[in-house]
Amino acid sequence: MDAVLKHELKRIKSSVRSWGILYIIVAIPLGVPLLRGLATKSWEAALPLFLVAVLGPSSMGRYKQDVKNGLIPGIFALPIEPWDIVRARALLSLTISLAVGALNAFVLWYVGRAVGNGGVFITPAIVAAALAGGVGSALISPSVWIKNVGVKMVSAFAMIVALIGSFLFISPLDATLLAWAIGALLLGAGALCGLNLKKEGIG
Amino acid sequence: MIEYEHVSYTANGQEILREVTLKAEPGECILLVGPNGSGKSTLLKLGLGLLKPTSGTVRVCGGNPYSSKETRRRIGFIMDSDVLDVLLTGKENLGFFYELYNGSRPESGFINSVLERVGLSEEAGKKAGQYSKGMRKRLEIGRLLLYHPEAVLLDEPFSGLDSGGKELLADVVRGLKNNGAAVVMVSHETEFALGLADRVVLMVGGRILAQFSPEEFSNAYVVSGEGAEKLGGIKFGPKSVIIVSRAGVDELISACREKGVALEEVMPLMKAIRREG
Repeated sequence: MDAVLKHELKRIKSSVRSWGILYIIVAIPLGVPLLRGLATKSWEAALPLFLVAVLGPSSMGRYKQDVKNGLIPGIFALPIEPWDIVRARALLSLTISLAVGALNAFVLWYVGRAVGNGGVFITPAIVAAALAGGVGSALISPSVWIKNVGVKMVSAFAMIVALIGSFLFISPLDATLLAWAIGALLLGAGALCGLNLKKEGIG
Repeated sequence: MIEYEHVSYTANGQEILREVTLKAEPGECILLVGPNGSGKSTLLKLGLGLLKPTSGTVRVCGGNPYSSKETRRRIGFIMDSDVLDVLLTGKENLGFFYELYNGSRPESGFINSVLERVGLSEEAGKKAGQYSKGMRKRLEIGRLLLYHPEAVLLDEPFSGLDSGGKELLADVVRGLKNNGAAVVMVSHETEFALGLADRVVLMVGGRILAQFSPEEFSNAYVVSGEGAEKLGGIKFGPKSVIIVSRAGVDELISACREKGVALEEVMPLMKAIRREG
């Protein structure tokens, strides 16, 4: 395993111990659909939306901490390229997104079965959207390193829409379309900014 | 080798470095001195690849540090603000750095021996975020011991260290020099830094103004006074000053009187630099 990936993994392990990160990673994606399911008696999996929403805020918090502690931009004096970090974070974010998404679907299925309101619908389209959402949320991680306020605003807006959308959208199709749109938006912004990281972030 | 050739750097419309040419040969240590805002730290950041020159060329170990991580792999550094991951322990930080620079995992016990050398054995399992400033600096010294840097850039490396830490750092830098590393250092702690330097370079206003041997620098004086420009004085902070050796001070004072330059102060250059920041 490459050194940057191992480093990011250790950081996640260290962060998970703090309640704030735990809340973002577990409580929101599990709690929100559960509450919605209990209120509406409808158990469609909303995981794509949550996958988009999960990692963005945690990345932002971590970025602020890194700047405060001087790790950014100093880290680029080490033999590390922005792409090494983008790649490692994308891989880890996607893995975590899918793991949390699977847990989310399982809890909904289990609770739905227990209260007798049927199963959870997970269609190939939703899984595809989950992938798009996961990659999107992964790439938002480098994009928050950018000084460009416009990009940050768009990213923050997309995450808020994802969270609110999870309450409002009942139909899996609507959820899928929204997740695809947000995923594509974050993917584009993240990829463009991530690859420009060094020039814009620390130039 | 660390080479700057006609390097200029402009940020937000302000020229920070102008046509700087400087070369540190293998085994040589250059101490950069000058008042605040003279561009010393910017010069180091260009050498570390953190900034890209507006014009001119920066070459370290024959490569471009801005675009090549292989070049940065051969550079050792300590910056004014430390580059450590506060979420990881001291030992984990060094393990991460080792793999980055060497491309493999360290042998069992090697990291512990480095931690012992820098006096952090007992705190090895604590997160770097819980370290004091001096301890973090010691961890950064440890990073220099993980590989064999051929070029070393140090920005205020002595700040925050106790006297034992300063001696440790001086010892480490001396060892790196003896192994052929080229060193460029910025430090206001001239008593320690001068002991390591082979050459002292004075920077003012983004330009190299003068170069001294450590002995010449220790004996250099500045004479300031209104109208000092008439005698070739230069802008140094808010004042115009003339730099002269201790032996030339009396002669200069007489010249000032003849030319009608009203003398304000005569003081060692080292002290004047410290006063200007």
